Amino acid sequence: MTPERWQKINEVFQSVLDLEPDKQKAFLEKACAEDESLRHQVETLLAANDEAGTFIGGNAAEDAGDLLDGNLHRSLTGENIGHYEIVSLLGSGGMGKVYLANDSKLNRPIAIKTIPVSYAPESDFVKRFITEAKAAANLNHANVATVYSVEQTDEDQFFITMEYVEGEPLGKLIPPGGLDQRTFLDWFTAIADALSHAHEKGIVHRDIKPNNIMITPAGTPKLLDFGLARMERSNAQGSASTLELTKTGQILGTPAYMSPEQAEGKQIDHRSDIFSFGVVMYMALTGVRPFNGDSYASVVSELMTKEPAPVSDLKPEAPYLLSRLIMKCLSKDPRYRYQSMREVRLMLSETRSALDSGASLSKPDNISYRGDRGVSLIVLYSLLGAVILLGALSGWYFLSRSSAAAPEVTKFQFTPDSSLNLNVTSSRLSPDGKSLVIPKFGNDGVRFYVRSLSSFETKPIAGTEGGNLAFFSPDSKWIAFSTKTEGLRKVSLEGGNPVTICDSCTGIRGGYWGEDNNIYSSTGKGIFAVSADGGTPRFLTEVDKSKGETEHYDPKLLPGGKALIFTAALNGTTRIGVFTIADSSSKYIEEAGQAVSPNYVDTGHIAFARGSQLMAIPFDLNSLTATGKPVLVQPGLFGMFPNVNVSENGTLLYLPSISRTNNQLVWVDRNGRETPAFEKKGDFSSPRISPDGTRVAVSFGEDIWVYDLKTKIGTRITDDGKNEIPMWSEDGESVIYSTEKDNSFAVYRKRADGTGEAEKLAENQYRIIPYSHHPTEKIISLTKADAQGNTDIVTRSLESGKTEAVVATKFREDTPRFSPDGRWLAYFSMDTGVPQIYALSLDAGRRKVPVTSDGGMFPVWSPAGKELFYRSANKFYSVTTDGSGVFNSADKKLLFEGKYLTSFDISPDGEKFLMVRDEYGTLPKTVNVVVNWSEELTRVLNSQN
Amino acid sequence: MTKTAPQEITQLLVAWGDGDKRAFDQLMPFVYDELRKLARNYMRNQKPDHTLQTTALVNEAYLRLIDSSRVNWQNRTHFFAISAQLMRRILVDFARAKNANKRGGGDPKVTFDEGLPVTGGKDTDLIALDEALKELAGMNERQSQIVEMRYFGGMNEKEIAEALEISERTVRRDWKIARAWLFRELNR
Repeated sequence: MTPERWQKINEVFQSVLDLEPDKQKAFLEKACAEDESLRHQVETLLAANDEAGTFIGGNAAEDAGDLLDGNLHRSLTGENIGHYEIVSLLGSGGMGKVYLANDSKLNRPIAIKTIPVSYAPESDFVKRFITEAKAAANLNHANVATVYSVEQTDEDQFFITMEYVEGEPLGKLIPPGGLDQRTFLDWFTAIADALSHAHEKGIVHRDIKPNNIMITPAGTPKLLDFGLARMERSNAQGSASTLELTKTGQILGTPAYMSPEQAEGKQIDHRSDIFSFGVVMYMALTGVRPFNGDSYASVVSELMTKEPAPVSDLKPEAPYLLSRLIMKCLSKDPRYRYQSMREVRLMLSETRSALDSGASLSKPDNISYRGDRGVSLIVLYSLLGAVILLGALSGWYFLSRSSAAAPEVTKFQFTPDSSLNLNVTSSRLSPDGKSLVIPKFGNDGVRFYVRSLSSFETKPIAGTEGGNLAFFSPDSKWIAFSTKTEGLRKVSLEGGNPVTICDSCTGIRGGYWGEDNNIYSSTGKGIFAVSADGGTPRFLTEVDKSKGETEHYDPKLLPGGKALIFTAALNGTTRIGVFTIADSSSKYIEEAGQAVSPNYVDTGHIAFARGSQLMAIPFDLNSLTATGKPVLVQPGLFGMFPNVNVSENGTLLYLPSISRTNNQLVWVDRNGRETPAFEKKGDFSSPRISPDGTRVAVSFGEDIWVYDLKTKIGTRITDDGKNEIPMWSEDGESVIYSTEKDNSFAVYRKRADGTGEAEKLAENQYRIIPYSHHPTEKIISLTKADAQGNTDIVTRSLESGKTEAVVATKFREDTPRFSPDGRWLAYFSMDTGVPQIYALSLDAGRRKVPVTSDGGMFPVWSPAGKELFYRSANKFYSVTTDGSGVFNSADKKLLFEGKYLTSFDISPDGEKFLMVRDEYGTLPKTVNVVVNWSEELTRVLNSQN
Repeated sequence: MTKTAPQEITQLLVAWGDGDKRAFDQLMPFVYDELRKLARNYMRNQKPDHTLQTTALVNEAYLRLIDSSRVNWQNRTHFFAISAQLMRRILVDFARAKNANKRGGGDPKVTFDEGLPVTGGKDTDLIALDEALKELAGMNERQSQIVEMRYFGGMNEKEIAEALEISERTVRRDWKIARAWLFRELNR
């Protein structure tokens, strides 16, 4: 049949179907009046359409089931296996069939789960079956179907005997509007307990769904079928077979109840179960599944992208806490879920006992604190994870709560009222850890807002207009702030007019209100104290310009009131200073360099930020000295703004890092004209052009990519750890880069096409970064950080592994690049307090020649070696040189100015620069809060000992 | 075939999504190999009484082959479209292999998988369907694609509409007549 003829048939066929049945015949008569064959075609097709029924309505693979599946599994009904008489087939479980059998010895009904005979006893499948059975047999819990034994028939068929659970699957018992609250809480508290028990034994269920939960006639829920349960991997290097289990497990799960990470095929842990449990709770309480779709792909798509409607929307009468609990379990990122099933269980049982006590569980309209006792109870509850809701709890909680729970670490992220456009980078956490004070920089000046973590409301603080940098009183009831005209002022958060504390205290840089009722603050001169009741400021420290100090700021009174810690800026770095009140002496904590935002934590540490890392150093309050080296608590925690706040009860507030998703690689010529290198935008940084000019190696997110500049096709060459700052080998065959993994740092080399294994060239306890390759010798230049955060320059022979310290001072030295003739190393140093560029001769004389005198960073040689390019802030300069160590600094030329990320490179013809256009324009809007962070800190520190 | 890194396959997929038809030809062998391997594993190792879900297979192939963090949902739809075509080939090849084995001979073009169980199940008319689909493609290629995507690829109407850049209504209308025609042809 020709396409034209078929098209005609199509038109008539569709027109007929679009008509009411009684008009179809007449239409057909008319349309096919002259064409009997057309009429026949359409009529037979209409008939076929009616008769087709389920024809190809399913899917091909399923219809070809016989072909593909085979009849591998014979039924055992009516037979005996040992002393078990098979009664009937109960159903098909995770990997085999499940039968009801009678144990003739003990005369009790049991369930038997079998796997097909055709599987070899030593096959992976059977091993998996046995592993799973052993895992499940470890569980002894009233709400888990007990596994009795793993046995083998005479024909080598393995089977598991287990508790026979009579009853109905949960899936069948959920009415359209969901379960009533009491039933819900009874059942789910029990299941949560069972799951928590399993997790504590290292068993993840992986397939939690309503049909795996049986409700016995007595109303006891039982968790079934750890058929997909796997032992969590106990070591980092899982064997191939373990990985295979994981792989296979991922698609055996039911997509509607899968966690996002499971659906993506990522490594999963117990938090995946917490997600699935959340989906089942959602379904059971509302009667509706949170993620739907009519195909596998569409369910997965919803799961990945959709935020389900809050439970409270679907079931307004449900306890608000419950809604919140379920939604938290459904966080897409496992880090924002509850971190343990025990927390979930605790929340459920708390809610249940509250319900038992007859209290209302709905969301109250107002907040009521009931004196100190009430407040502390609220804090206790916050430990259980409902931090945002603290004040949303009504009196019921106080009635039911009787004993303190073990502190749990709870983490959440929130945006304080995005409509207000607050400047969270200057937010401060109250000492009780319950509220934040946040400035808003408006057109009409600054004013402050307070956001209680127990409320959704962000309220302006009257009378704070024109203020600058606010901080809390020790009882968290007042804030103090500075103004240009009236000096240091304070205002009660409960209302009232602001009061001036010290009208001469202007131009101050935030402060700290101590338990001794003194306010500690700073100006350019040093740190001063003034009574919070008013008075004259007394200077405590003095900025010592002869030591290179430029500022003392951010003072905090240590517990006991004997001393202050503060941050000192000097020589381009920052140090933590300790000021002893009794003898007015100050000193640095020498061990902690490059440190900002120090906070004393009651674990006996000073926590501080260094770059993007959160560090902690043990500190003795009696001797006021560090008693050890700083340890890395968490890498990659901070973005641009390392604002760390720790409250007295161990809550941590910090600003999350923002990924730079809009950066673009661009070519910029000597006149500043910019053209995109390619269209793709993303988290690019540190581009380096290959020696032949055809490719670029660049950091993208946490990986190194190599892009072909012509085809624009990229290859990711790293697959593990956090990788950054690539450079090329001299032959252009390989890329050398820095990797951070498991809190240690190393330099690797890998082939630029991504093939082959990465080869470790060097490692260091702290950051180590490769910068350039010597033109003729097999030597690379690197920077190596020490415990203080200072970087020194070393060279390393790739042949002998010999490392030589080239520039090592107590200041930061960075970005060493070999000159094209190999005789010089250009770098920048902070030794004068501002970055300056130097060239170091690599001959025996080791001559150090200053290149800049008014600031410069990131030197890059021109390919011919006749020019050195560098940047100072956003300005890019060139300076000429004759190659003998003479730099014509007076003739330096400003090439262009632009908002580009720090690292850049030059094309082999020396005519254009490869830059990363910095689209990082917005300030963070969210803050991260970790309740009981000190618990986590203790854990991290213990694990490192 | 040499092992190819996910990023290359991902790149091909992205390139195809951007309109590079050559990328499609390069992509096919990888996906075919992977789907075939998975289908074989299913027969050999999976729960025997678990019905084989094309979508599950394709999804797993997708997870294995594609670096999902770098591919958008539209690319994913394209992947499913390719897979539908390949599943058709795989299943028809399996059916042919089985028939060949039953006859005791062998079609030299088809390698029979040693793990494939030879059973006396009902004869499938996959081969006839495949032939009919080829004929349909001659009359209207899009209709044949829709059947392929839905029946062999397990895609739903919305996904098919996205992949072919037509309305869901058109998908429904085409599906209806295509199915009627196939049913009529196969039941003559």
